[in-house]
Amino acid sequence: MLKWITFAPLIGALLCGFLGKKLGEKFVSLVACGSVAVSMVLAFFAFFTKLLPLPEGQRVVTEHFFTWIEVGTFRADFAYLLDPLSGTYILFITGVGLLIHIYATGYMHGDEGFYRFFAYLNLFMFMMLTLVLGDNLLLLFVGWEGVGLCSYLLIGYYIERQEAGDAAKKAFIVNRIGDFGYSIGVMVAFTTFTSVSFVDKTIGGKLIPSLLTQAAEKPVEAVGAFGIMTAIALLLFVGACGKSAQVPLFVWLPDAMAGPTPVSALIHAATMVTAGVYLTARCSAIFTRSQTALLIVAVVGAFTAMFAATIGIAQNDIKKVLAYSTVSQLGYMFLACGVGAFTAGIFHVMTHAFFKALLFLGAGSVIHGMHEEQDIRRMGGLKKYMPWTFKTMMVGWLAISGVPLLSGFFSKDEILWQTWSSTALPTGLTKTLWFLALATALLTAVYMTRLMVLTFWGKERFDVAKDEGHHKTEHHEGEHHAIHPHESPKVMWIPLVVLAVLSIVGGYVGVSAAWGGSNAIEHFLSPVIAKAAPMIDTAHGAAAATASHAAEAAEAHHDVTTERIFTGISVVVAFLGIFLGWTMFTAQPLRKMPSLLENKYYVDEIYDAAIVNPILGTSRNFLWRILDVKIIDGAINGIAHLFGETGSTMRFLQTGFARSYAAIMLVGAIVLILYFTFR
Amino acid sequence: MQFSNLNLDYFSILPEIITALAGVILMLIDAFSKKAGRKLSPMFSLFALVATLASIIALWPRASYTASFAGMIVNDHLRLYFALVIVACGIIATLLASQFLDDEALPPGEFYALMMFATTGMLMMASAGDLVMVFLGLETSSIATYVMAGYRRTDLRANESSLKYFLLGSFSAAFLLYGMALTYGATGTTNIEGIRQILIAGKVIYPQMLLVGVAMMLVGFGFKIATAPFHLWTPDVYEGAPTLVTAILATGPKVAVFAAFLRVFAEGLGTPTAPAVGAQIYDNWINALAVMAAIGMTFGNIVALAQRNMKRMLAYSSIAHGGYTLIGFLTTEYAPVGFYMLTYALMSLGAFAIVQMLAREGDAKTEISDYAGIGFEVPNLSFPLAIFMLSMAGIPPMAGFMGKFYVFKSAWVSSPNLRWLVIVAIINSIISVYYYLYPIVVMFFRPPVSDFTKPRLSPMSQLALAITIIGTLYFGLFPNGALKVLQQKTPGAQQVAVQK
Amino acid sequence: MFELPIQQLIFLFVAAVAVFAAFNVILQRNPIYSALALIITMCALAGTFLMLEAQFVATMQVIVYAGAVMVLFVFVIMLLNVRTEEARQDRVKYLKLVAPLLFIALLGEVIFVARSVTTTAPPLATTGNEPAFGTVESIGEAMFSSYLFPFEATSVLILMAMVGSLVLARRRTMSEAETLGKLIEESGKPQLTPAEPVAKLEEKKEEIAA
Repeated sequence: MLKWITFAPLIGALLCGFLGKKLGEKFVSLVACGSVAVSMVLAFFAFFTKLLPLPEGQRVVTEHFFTWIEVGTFRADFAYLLDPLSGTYILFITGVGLLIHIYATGYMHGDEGFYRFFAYLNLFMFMMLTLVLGDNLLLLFVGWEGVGLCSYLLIGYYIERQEAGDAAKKAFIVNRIGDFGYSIGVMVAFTTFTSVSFVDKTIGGKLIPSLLTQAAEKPVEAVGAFGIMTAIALLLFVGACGKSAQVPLFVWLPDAMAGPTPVSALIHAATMVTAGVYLTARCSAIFTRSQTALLIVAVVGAFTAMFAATIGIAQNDIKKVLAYSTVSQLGYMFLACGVGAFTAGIFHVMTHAFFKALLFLGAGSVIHGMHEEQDIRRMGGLKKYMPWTFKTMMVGWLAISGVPLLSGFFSKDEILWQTWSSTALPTGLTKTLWFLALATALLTAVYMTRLMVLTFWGKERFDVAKDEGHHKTEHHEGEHHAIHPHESPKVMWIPLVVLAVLSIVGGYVGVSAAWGGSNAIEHFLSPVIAKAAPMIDTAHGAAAATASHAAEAAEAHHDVTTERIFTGISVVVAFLGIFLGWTMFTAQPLRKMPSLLENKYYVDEIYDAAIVNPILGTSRNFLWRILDVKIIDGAINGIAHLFGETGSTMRFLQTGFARSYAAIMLVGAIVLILYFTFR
Repeated sequence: MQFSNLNLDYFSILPEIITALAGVILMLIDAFSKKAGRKLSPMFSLFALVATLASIIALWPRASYTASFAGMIVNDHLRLYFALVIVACGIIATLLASQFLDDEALPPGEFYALMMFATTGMLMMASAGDLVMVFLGLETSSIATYVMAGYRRTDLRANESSLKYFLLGSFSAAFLLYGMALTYGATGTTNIEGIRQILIAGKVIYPQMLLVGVAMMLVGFGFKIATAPFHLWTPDVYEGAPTLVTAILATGPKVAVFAAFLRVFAEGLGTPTAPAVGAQIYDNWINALAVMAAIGMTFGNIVALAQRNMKRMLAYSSIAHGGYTLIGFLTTEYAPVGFYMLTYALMSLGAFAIVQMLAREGDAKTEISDYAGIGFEVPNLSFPLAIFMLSMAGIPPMAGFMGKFYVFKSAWVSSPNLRWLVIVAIINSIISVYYYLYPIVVMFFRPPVSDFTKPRLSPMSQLALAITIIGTLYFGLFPNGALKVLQQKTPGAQQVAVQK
Repeated sequence: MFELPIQQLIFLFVAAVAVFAAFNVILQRNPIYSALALIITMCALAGTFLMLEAQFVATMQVIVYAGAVMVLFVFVIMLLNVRTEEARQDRVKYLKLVAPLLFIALLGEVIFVARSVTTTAPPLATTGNEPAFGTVESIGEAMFSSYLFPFEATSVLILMAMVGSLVLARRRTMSEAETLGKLIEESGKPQLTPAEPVAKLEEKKEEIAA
């Protein structure tokens, strides 16, 4: 059953890819959406009938497909693991995935690459589900690279645009830097645990406990102690940074917006980019064994959240704003993981999937309605043209800003509170991180309000030239507009409505105890999540470190009043942010933003100058031109000039080169013999 | 000299006999029926190669360390496995050859004969139990490939490539031969197992001489597997030779050389615990090869970044792959090398085959910019090429990933001294993604060129392409079968007594 | 130093001749001189073989290499009328400086190693009933017993090398060769160097071109 959850979209992808061009749009839409629907139905069925009925703490469903590689003491299977963590993921992946597929049939209507698009998109679903359901680090890596590949194909979908191809390449390569950490992490994990599996496996006739079980038995490495667990955790985190666009590997995600908008919604907001969070939560047993790793995760997360939010304020492309917002929200999730509140992180992954997919699809609807216009400075007043888009996006806006009773509010508040009350990190640090996170929440509300105000309210600025947009105001009120915005078709706004509903109610699975909820999602997830060891050895903390039931008891001791006060603070901050944004941008929508922010802190330029250009330069100008061609050509000419002669008469006769090669070989031989005889 | 000791086991050299005989028959076919030869020769070659394959499989149950022909031929699992890969490369190359020869209007007879003789040489390298046999095998396959590189006689580039390959190849062969001579002088035997016994017993006559001899053999092998600093010939030769010949050059001989290299170094000189010079030699070659591997793959990958010609890029990439394989080599196990060579051979043959199909007559179109926008014009070529590129870059679930993973994992586990090399290799494989993606970007994300016409594909080439694609995917998804085969170790490591 | 035994004196002489002649092979610009120098090298090498009690190899060296092979060389050079190689500008100037240095370095290494080799070789392990080393009998026995397979394999190598050189040397296309064959037939007498038919072929080509 589990394998069919993953394979249904693969079959869809093959059908679309091979037959789609002949059989047309109707067929492709049907197959693509149908296969994801099958996958979703199976996922819900497996989740509610197979997983949930199991007693708490034993909710694990495994399915062996085939033994992929078994050699010596190494074993990795094509096998699937359904537990609360992967269960949560497959529900929202298939759910949101289906909605976005349906939306995309409208959005991509008439595109000549329609079949190709859905083939890639279905393939992506297959890879993403493999990633989440894989029962070992290696199979997870297949999905991991697979989603990267699909993301690459889909970012570069618009082949006529040069920047799309470049962005695709950039995304892939930056991700590979993350994979470097991941690959070595897997090696180290294998040498440490002789297992790369998340479940116990029989390897060579011996039962080897899962790497998570083994990791949980290792002693905790304190801050500053750089042991093997820290090494594994940090290496895996490098991989997570690449996939989930954390500083310093976030640069690819904003560029990835060159792809079609449904892709941005599905891959670069709701699902793929949260794979890093999934990995961190999946390996929580490893991360919690190293306080250094947790600290780094938390700091990177908080810093990314803040950093991206500041950039988001100054962007003018509607999708770029949302992209930086995604980076920022991913930072929140890592912050949660870093302070030991993995469940809060996953909770935010889920709510974020709802409201960010909603916002992206809304943005797509706006772009569609505005005839491919993406610059928010040239929008304005769209609410009367696009009522459904406007209403649904408003829900998304309020949810992400943290307005009470919407989903984003619950998850974000949970992260803030967990950060403040965390015992896994030094107290001073948790307070600083909390403050950063709070400031980010304020900024989030501001930039989202700016986005909404510039898009839906105020005057219509459809004709303002792009480059002068920030100082020239609209003069020709009554003049005939070149652009006639229109509402998108039903097939596009109905998924928006569904997502809006989810963005409202999605948060109620995680209402904290302080507000009379039962925090169902935390209870549900906690058996598969390791608890972080406390920094200070208090009585409560020590108990929490050893046993999970003790941790729950400690939770009960939460100072309910304090928690309520903190919730109050977040609410105030959210409204303050909205208020600030509203007053600033309704008064002066096109106010000039600091150029440092508008230029994204020049990160791309810095990377180009510091890393990319030197490597390419070395390759082109030194290694190839000089060592390969010039050492022969140039040195000859140089020396020839030295002797007052030019030696170009025999240019076509390349035997000269062969002689030079022989000379270099001879040097190599002499060095080798020297080394052998005189060592 | 007791003749009874010779162990003249003709069954054990059946693969070599079949290919050599087939080579002779192919020349006769060409001599007596020029017209029919064009159709008959490839068919007969294929038949002979399949028969060879069958004979190798038939030899499998007889795998043992007992050497036949006075220690000249060793029929163990290493030999059989590598022979299998070599013949598989031969089959794929033969399938591709008929279209190449037709398109270029070249005489078919000698080409197939040469390919058969080259295969004979490669098989001899894999089965060699003696330095003499290693050298003979190497020369047989090399001379055949020198000629094949220059087979398109009217083409100046091919002539240049052939001549350069010949000159430098002879230069390196001189080193190899001198090294073997010195090794013989220092140990009194050319038998590889014999050398090993002498090292273990600490009975080396002239230790200094042995050190120089081994260093020189390393130069010779280093040239053939194209690792730094002996790789310089590769790009020029690969670019100049007809693409099909490049495909052959880059795969079969490399596989065979690795087999012989394993036999001589990992088995003969793999003596870490031997007294005195034995251990020193082991340390020396391990260290030297580690440095050569690191330089080779770094150089190959970084220079490949700047290439705009497909064949040249693949040449540098093959230098890098040689470096990765050497990491597996340093574990002194044959399994990682064998598996990597299998995956490498499949994807290289596939990639070069597509380059050849797209190149037109006289290899006119081998610049990557010539591939602009062909992605959806010829999906039957562009998608396979994309798969091969991704596989070479090490993206799962393609075979290239499995090969890399297995090599890196084996090295990582086998010795902490190799871990730095694994890290260097992983960084390298990240750099390599950049240039492997470049053709994909050009094919799929660039506007098409106007003068592109779909190439003709013969059924045989299509079959070859299918084999390489299916193999590339199969060994990525189901590597277990091949790995199981590679885990087989020939029991009882006792070798026949050293002659004389 | 002055008590060199006669064998060593002879060896030094023969070796010096071999090295000197070998240098001459590559330094001479006229190919005939090079070939002649090569013959001297071969003969000198035969001398060293003789000193190593390898009589048979020494004889073969003289008969096969210095005799048959080199005579063929000289014939070919004369028939093809290869001219003296003209001194041409060498593009790879720096190699002229580097190559001797590399040569000296390699030579130094080899000498260093040679110094570590003692002059008295350890006695060969003999069983007593073997034929004397270096005789035709012992070589024949080795060739058809322990070296049986390499011996046979060499025949494949040589056959292939022959085919290969033919393939590369055959400069004309098939149709041209056929025409040439006809022209040779027409001329009525088979000849070793079809100079006349070749000239006719060229004429025909020019006609077609015109």
